Amino acid sequence: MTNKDFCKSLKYVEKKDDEPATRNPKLETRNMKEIIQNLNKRTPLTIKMSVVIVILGVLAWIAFDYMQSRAFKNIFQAQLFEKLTHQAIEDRISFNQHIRKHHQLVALFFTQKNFSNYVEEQMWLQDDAIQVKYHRRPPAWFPPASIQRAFIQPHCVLLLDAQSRVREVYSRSGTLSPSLLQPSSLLLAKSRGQSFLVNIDDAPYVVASDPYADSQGRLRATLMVASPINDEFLIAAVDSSDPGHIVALVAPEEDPQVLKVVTSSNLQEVPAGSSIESLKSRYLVTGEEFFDYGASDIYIRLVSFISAEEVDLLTKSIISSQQKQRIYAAPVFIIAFGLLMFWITRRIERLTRYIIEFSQNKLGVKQEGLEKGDQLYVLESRFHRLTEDVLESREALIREAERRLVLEKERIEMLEKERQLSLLHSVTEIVGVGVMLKSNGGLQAANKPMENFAEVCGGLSVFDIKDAQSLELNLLDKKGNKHVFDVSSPKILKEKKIFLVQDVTKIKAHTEALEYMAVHDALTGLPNRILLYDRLNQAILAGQRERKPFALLMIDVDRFKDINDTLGHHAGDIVLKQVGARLESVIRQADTIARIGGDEFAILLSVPDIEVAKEMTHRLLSTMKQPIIIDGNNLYVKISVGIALYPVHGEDTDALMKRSDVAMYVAKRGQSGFSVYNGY
Amino acid sequence: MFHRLSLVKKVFLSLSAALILSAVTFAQQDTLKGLRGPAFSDPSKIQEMPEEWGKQPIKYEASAGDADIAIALDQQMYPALSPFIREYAKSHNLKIAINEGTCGITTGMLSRKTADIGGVCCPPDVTDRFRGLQYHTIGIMSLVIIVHPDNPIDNITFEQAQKIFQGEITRWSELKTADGKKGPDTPIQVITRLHCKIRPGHWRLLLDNEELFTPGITDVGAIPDMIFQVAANQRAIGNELVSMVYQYEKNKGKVKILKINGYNPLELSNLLSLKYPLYHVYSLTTWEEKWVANPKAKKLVDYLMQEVELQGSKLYLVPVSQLKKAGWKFKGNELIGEPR
Repeated sequence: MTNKDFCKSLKYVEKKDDEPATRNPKLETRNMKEIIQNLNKRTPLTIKMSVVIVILGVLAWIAFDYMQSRAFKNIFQAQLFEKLTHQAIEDRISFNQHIRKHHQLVALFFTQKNFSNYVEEQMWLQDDAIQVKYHRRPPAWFPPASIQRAFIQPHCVLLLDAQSRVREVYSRSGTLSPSLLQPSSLLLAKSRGQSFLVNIDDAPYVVASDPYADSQGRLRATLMVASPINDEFLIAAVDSSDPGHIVALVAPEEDPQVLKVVTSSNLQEVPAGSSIESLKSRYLVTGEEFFDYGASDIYIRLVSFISAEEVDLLTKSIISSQQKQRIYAAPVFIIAFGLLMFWITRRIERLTRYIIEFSQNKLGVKQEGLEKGDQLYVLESRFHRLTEDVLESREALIREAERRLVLEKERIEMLEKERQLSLLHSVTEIVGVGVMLKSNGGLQAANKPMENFAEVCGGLSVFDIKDAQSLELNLLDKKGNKHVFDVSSPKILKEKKIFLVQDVTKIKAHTEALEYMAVHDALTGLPNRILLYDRLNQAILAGQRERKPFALLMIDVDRFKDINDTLGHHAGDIVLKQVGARLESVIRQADTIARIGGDEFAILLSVPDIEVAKEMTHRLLSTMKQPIIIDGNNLYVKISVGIALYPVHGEDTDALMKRSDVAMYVAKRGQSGFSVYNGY
Repeated sequence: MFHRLSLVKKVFLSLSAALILSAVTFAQQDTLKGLRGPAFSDPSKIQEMPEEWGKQPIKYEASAGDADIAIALDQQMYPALSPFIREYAKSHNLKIAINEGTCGITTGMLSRKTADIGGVCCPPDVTDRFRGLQYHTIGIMSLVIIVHPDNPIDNITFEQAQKIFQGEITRWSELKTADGKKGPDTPIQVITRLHCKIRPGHWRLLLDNEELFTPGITDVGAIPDMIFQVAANQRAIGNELVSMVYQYEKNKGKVKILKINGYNPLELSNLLSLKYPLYHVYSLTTWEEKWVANPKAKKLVDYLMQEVELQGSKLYLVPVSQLKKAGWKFKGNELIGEPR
């Protein structure tokens, strides 16, 4: 984005002096939105990403810092607590040893020559008025300081005579409790040979004592060492130089569940009388187990503390050190990121250029109106346009391919049709079928036979059957001869209509002759049995439909066999021809006469009743009264007729045929000329 | 072959075998006696107390308040008996104050007459015996020798145990594993908890007194520390009551219990027959003199002894009835001697 563009975008927010006083807040919001969008679009990618990474980095930093601090603190506290637990064990062991050293110190005294000499020199009499000798400095019977240093510095050392009366006392503080100056037999018994923990004047003490016997085994004295278990004792016992590490003796008061501090190694921080629970808010506390000396008369527990504040400070110092490291690392990271972004944007720009060149050079798309925005936006737009261009090119290619495919298909079809047409011409010419084409240019004879037909019948136009598929044309040639043409139009070509023209005159005539012969008697020319049956069936259907009666007459030539036998078959044939002709001459055109075999004829008469049939039969018989001349000789021929009436004597073909036949035989037998079926 | 011998020879051989066996037994007992401390104190000796103490009535500590019975238990007895005591208090509608402490605290409270019942896990010393105080043994429990769980040693002799704690056996390689191999070639770290030094029994059944232990011991003052030290150190060996081992193993780490002379301390029959020689004696006390005796306390002690009889094995305790059957010596209700 150039400075000019930026200024342009800023113009939207500049207040113009001539603006009206009333302002539309929605419009302003929209303008602001547009400005921000515009600004966002035009700001270089590197700058934008740097801003985003800084913002996200700061947020991540805060979140990470928070989570890390918490996690670190928890881990640190857990580890510290574990360490403190170990420390507490060490503290207890150290404390335990310190307690035991009191008894060990007693034993040390007995090993020292100066002590044994001193005690054995003393002549403490039983009735002596007790004069206790007090020492503020180590007396002569003490071990040398160099040896004593390896043990402990007791608070007080008491030398008792054989009657357990205190004779000499060394005390660092001066005053001593009467319980120590006049020890009970129980205290002496419990502390004998061990360090005994006991409450003296409501303060915990460790007391150790042992009787001293001379070389003859006579009891000469008892040495007792005692120290109050106070802050000084704990500091010496635990020997911790760490100010944050505090140990305390705790014991329950009235409520056994509530432990309170008896004394501690740091009474300022952990004062006597404070409850453990109240201290847990400020300290990590551990090591509440019993001391199980079995020689302790007091309920005592040693507790170790570590200041929670110190834990916090330590945690903070470590976290702060990590924060510093992150602060140093951040600029490096940002610069590295910036360089990376710069490299990426360069690659993006190069890619954009490639796309533009590809669109221009390979796809031939003009690159007009290039987008303005950051590198990624331009790349997106370019890529989007490229995809559109590619798709468009693809569509165009597909369309062109389809068009070419259609053309090619048509060309192939045309070639095929032309091939077929050529074949057709050859074939039709051989078989004598005329081919005529009809196009915009008019009718055209496509082969020789067609030319001949046109010439004979007076032109091509007579063969145009227009839109008919096929048609049989009856035409006369120039000489007046009748011709039948079979014209068909198979519509092979789109633009050319083809007509196939065949002269079927002879075929037609031949076919008609065959058809006629099939239903007519060759001798008499009358319909034969097949045609009779057809007509009879039609008459029955009509009769059924219209309730129209008709009569079937069965006729037989009397003594025809004799004619044949005597006059020969030639004469027989003449008789049959004459009989047929005479009978045909009598009947009406609507009636049917047929020769159904040998000398048998049948007539189908359309009559309203039997009487009319009989009348017609009389007329038939009358025609036979004239002689038939054969070779100059008169031959009188008679016929017998059997009549069956539909529907009175039968309603189907077989019944009518059979019954008329029966009636005919009756007539023949009776020489009566005719007979009507009467149910014989 | 034995059948073919004459009767005289058979009697002679049998007597010889019996003599040898007795000699071995005595020798073993002598060995035990040699370094082993006393198991019990003389019950006839009591601690001298001022005359006014004898007249002193029982006066509970402030924490016990207006309880019907005040009990002081050491920390070994507390987890074992406190559930029964609470159950008893509930069923008998009694208010019973239980103070958890140590043997010293318990006997301290008895010496101050601030409890009706005391519960200790060591046999009483003279200093624990007071006029009118009656001890009632409820059972004995194994004191076990423990090592780190990775230690391949499973079994040691009693003599080896004594030598280890004395510092005469200083490396694990001087001992053998179950398959006869040498133990690891590492120094032995002895952990002790030398409590109740003046009382008989307990660790003193291993070595009589502190002076017999090696100077190189690490002595701890609390039971959990003993378990922790052994569980954390592969070279360590220590000793602790079996119930305490199981109680603290969860928090302080696993340890392994060794057999002694091939005898498993967890089998109570081994302890009963003294084949396993280390144990603690669990006892309760009651006051017998009229002005201090609490009949309710006596009934409670009877109830607790009965419960231990019934459920002793769950508590790892050998109950009194079995001890009596096995010939352990009693005076009244108090166990005072091992069987011959």
